[in-house]
Amino acid sequence: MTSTKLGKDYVLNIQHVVKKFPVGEGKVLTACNDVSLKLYRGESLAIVGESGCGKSTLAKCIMRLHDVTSGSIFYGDQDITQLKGEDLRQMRKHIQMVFQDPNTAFDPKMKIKDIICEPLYNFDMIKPSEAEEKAKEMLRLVELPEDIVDRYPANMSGGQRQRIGIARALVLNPEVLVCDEATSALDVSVQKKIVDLLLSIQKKTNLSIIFICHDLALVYQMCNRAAVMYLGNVVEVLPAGKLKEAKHPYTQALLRSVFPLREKGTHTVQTLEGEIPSPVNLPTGCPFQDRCCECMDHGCRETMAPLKKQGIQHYAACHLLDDEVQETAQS
Amino acid sequence: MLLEVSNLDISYGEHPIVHDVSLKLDSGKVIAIVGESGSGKTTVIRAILGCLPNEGHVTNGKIVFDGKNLLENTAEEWRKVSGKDITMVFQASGSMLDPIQKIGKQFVEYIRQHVDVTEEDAYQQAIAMLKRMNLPNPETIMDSFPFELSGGMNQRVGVAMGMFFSPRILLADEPTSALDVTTQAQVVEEMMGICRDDGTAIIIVTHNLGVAAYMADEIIVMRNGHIVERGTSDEIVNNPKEDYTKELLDAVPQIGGLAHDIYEAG
Repeated sequence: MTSTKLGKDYVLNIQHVVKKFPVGEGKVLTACNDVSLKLYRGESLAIVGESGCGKSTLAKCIMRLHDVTSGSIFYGDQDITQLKGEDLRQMRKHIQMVFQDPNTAFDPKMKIKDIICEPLYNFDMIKPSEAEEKAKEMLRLVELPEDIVDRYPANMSGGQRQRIGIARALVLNPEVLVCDEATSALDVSVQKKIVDLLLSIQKKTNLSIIFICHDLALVYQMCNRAAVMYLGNVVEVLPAGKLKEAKHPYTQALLRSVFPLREKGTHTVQTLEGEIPSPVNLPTGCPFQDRCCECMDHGCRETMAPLKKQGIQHYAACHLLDDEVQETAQS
Repeated sequence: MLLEVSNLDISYGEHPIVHDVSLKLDSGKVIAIVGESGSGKTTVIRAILGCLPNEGHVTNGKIVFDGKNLLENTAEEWRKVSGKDITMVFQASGSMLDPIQKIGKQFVEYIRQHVDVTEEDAYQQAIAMLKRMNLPNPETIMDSFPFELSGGMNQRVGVAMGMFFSPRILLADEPTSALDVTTQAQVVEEMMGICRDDGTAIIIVTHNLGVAAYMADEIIVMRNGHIVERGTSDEIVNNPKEDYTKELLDAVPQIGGLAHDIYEAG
């Protein structure tokens, strides 16, 4: 069993990030609403939630593919949301991304070696004569045969292409890897191999991974911590291995929706009624109020509960929960 | 026996894709076909509905539905059977629906293709079906274009259309793969509920073994066009015989599986 000690050593510090998109007629879509998260060095942090909860938007803000509306994202002591021009370009070396669909993530007319080495060319870190050797080194890292350097992405399988996506993202030796649903398009057996690969690379290089995913079971097995998002808000952050002890009604509802493989009969699958509400004109109060079976007169309709400490590395934002740890500390 | 497929071989052009597939289905039963992409699982159910892509054709075997070999059907006979006695729910119902027509118009047209009712009656019946599927605001849905609805909502409309005539057999091709867990649970429950009520038999193609184990009476595992293993869902999940099935099961992440990292800092 590996044991990760989490200290103050974090690589990314996301503070109060808000991202709004204008959708015409004076309406505003709030994709991320005051998101604060830290990414520790060498950990894998999962961001889970339903489609439309803002998890990909948050990733794109971290990648600076979107500009935040307000808030800041610190990489070291640099606020990357304020970077411009050459400084921004240089920062990109440290944060890289693996995309969801490996079939559309590459230029089909580029050879594998050029795909893998393109980030190095961009930063003038490699001579064309060295490209083939470097590409082979990266292919070894992602456990692909070296002799595919001169092939094109079209004649590879989805799993192989996703490995090339990982090789390309890692060639600059980044500190942070953002995986946006990187395994969702793959078969389970291929998914397992890709996840094992990511974890073994993480062990070797102390890489920090942000893993955006909607498969709770996968998150449970591969990640250190999980942040659950709902309608642009982080509603719960907890150690992924303790997902079953989740406190927030939304996280509990998500867990009840999973079809277990072997516990047929012992675990009743319950459905969450209704749909995720429109992020245009957010309701005041708790974002989950309309679907929550426990929503009562606790101020759920008036104010959004802050994240309250529930245990080690465990925070949940719900009016039903008390700030247990602090109260015991005071009494 | 409602449906009996025997020794089915299917080729795309010159390439044999599916080899020697047989299955038997009774009313009210659920069969799940699982396997990786390219295993031929979708090809099998497409053959049952007679909608193989252009190049595809059955080279050997029989598909007997209600005592009649479907492979000998004329185009007119297919038109009567498919969409009424045998229906299909596709992976992405959003792209199955016509993007430039409102859901209501398509639903009414679909109903009137098969039965002789007025537009108004068809509309009311469609609304009733959407209500039965627990879809909120059915009138709004009928008045929407597919792109105005979420993927989950489109998928549920697809299921509602597939279930409308209480078909004898519902073929479902990865009906929940594109959905979130919460929506997946809703769609699965709705399919199971209506099948219990109407005695519809289901063949579901999926790579989600959790869903297969939950829904199916029998699971068929396919690889490279061959059936690797078959058995009750309990046998396959808890007591798989073939190495490939074990591999597939091991790859499924589960909550409560392996031990995990421990956090020590506060």
